[in-house]
Amino acid sequence: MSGISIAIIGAALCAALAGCGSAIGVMAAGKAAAGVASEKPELFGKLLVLQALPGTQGIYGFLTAILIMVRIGVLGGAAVELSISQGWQFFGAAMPMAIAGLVSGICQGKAAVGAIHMTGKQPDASGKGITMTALVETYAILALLASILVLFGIQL
Amino acid sequence: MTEYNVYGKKSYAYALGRISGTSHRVLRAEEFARLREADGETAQKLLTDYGYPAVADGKTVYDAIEAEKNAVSAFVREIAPDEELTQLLFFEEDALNLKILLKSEKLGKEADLDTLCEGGFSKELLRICVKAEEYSMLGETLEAALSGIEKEENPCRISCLVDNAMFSYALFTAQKKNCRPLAELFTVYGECKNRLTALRLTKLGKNAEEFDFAFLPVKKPDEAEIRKSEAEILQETDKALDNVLTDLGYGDGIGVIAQYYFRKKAEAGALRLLFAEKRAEESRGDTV
Repeated sequence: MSGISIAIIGAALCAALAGCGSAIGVMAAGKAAAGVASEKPELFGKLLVLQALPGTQGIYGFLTAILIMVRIGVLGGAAVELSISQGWQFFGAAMPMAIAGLVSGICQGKAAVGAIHMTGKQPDASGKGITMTALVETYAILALLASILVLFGIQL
Repeated sequence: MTEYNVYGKKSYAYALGRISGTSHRVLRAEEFARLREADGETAQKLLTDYGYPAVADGKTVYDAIEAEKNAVSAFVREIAPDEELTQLLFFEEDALNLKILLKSEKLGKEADLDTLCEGGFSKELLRICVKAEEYSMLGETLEAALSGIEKEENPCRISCLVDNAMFSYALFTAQKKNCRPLAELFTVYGECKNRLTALRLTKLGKNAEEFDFAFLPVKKPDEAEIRKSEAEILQETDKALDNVLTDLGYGDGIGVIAQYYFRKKAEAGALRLLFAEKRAEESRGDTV
């Protein structure tokens, strides 16, 4: 397998795993939000924010994948000749975002479900719910930073 | 509402979301305290403010409480994803319906099905079973527990046998379906009921061994538990039930639905008692 193939697999996994985490999280939050909204439709705006929160991991994964593809020249230029070692370096750079994106997306979805139920019971507490759910985001952001720092540290 | 039927499978996340947002919510402790402090008329108004149906002309507050209980029962049936498990929550209502039907049959009268409450089993099915003296349509557990009940003459025994049969059915089905939250709830419920049965027998000066049929098929209270004071027993059983219901609330499945339904049922009972006390107080005041 060539270096560029390994790097592309890393980018693809990053987008796919983080996207799956987000999809699962948004789905769980969506079901809970639909339940609350069918009883209290006036809360739709507050519930939508909570449902959207687990979706960011997918965006971070996609962003990391794009950055990898730009760096290896698959997007917007000629593909760079990569050694196997460099390919694995790109693969490794993608992993923090891929793994943390998958796990934190699911976990943030669960936190969002709890916050949605809380908003259903106490609509005024939605701000607290958003804060609590957003805390899970910290780890996705740290993973994104780690991926970007490693990515731009790779010598071509 | 059918949106929750995603890919042919109902979702607990949706059901629990509906419980969170429902207008048929469980009253908070401070709301209950306010009801307790208020006079009868104010308490009635407060209850309406808390989401109970308004008391219509010619109706009483008890009708409003009953209407709320029926609405909650219909709501639980509508949202619960697993019909077979949901049906188990209504084992007390089934027992009551069956007792009424058996009593009517014994008296040679036709029971009015409209006056029966909504249980897990269809009222018509129970009526057919009682008429035919054949309970196989209710499943093996109930068939075994209820066969020959029509020959029983002692009303106390009939009542206990029916309670026992419906409880056993609920507990065994929950265990068979590997539903830990319900199995745990029913076990604690049965143990608490057994403690209360032992207390009643002690108060009546009866021997517990003579009334073995009155105990549910779970752990019976030991001597030390029986010797405790009435207040202690009542407090401990209340606490045990409250603890198990609170634990169920931390889950994300049928346990939360069971918690909601049992809390609302307990709330209805407590409200009936509260308004009965208020009425008694007011009538005492009038007499003075």
